[in-house]
Amino acid sequence: MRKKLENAVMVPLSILETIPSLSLFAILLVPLANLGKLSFFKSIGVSGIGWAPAFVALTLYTLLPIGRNTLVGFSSVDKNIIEAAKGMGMNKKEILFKIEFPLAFPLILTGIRIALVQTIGGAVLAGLVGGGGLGSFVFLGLAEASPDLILLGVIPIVAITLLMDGLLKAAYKMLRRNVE
Amino acid sequence: MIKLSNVSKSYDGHEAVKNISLHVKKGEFIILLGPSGCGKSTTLRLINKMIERSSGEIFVQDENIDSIKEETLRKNIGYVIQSIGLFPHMTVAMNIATVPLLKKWDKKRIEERTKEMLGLVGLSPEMYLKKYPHELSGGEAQRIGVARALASEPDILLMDEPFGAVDPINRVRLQKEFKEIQKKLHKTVIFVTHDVEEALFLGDRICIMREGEIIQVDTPSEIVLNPKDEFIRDFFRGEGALSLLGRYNAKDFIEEIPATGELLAENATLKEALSEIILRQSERIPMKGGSISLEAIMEATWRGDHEKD
Repeated sequence: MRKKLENAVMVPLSILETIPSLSLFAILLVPLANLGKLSFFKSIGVSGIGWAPAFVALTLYTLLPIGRNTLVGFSSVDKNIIEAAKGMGMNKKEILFKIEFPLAFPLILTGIRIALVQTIGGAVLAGLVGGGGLGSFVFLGLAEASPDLILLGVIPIVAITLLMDGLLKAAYKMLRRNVE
Repeated sequence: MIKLSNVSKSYDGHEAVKNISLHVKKGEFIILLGPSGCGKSTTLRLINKMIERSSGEIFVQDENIDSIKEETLRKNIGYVIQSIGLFPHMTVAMNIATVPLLKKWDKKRIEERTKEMLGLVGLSPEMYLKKYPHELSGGEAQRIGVARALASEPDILLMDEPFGAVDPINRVRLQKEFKEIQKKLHKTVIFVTHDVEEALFLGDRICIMREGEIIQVDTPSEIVLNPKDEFIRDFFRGEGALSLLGRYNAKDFIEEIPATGELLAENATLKEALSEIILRQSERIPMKGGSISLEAIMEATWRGDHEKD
């Protein structure tokens, strides 16, 4: 039962992850363009191009690393520890929140870190579909063969990536300190 | 205190526990002893509903366990397992406070109790309260496991090979310490082991199991001296009498006859006395207040528990 559910979630996510981001933008173009015809979505600016496809695609891409690490995090909790918790009279909810989640959290955080770094990198491509952002400088620079423009885009992207990666790594170390 | 009547447990066609009945009295230390796969751990886990029995009835403190919510039942029964299962993300203090916290004791009472428990198992509160499990040695972790199980003052303690993973020297030390703790607290203890020596040293009564059945329940000396069948005789063969000697304090067998040589330690058991006698090749060794003779040791096994009662 658990295994079935696991496959039902993880297999589609893995397949999704193999679709190159530009293709995913293209795939999303038609459905999002149609969605943009509805008044609510139109009012928040959803359309086939622009920020919407980038936002949707990048969100989808985060699901696999976060999902997989969450799964690994929970299944790596020592069965004996859960047995002890149960034997002391914790109910399912208490075991989940007091034992399993805190022990799995460092690995979930690692998943979030991977997703974050991947998303910052992927967001560059939003520039190609009119989503704006630092990516637009990069592609404009490429089109006009202007290194200044490219660097104007790339340097902040690298800086943001390193900063976020560093912050989450530090958080991970702090959480893991007592467990190892 | 704990009563099992006609209890069975089967897993997909295989009967792990076959129609067993057992009555454990208040304050009694009972050992479930037998080879691996004999159903002793299963029996233990049926009592705190870690597994559901297939048939029969179990009463804990005169109450049918079917009428008690499993979490409530477990909160009132201390449980120690071989792997200990300390929570790695919590300090020693938090680990010990687990059940008191679940029972919503007030903060001050929990704090005092935690310190008291560390003292009971012989660890100094100042040094250990803030430690994490990975900073502990195997023996220390096992002591914390015992402290955690006793923290909420349960009347009953279930122990599943609690000292099985500890090295031999520390195991003997833990057994001695635990026996002392039990002398003070008089808990009702059900203790699973496959170690004959451990069983004979700790138990008030020993329940021998084989292939899911109870073969004999008796005091250690009765079991060693009057085994019910060949299986039990074989089980103790070679060390039964020697292990039994480990139960008796040498000082209870002192004769007022002087002897020369180094004094035997005051807390020595008869087993240690015998070992010294063999090593010194002398039939009588001195102890404070007199001496112990080989003859006295030989007789001790036979008068043993009868005389004490």
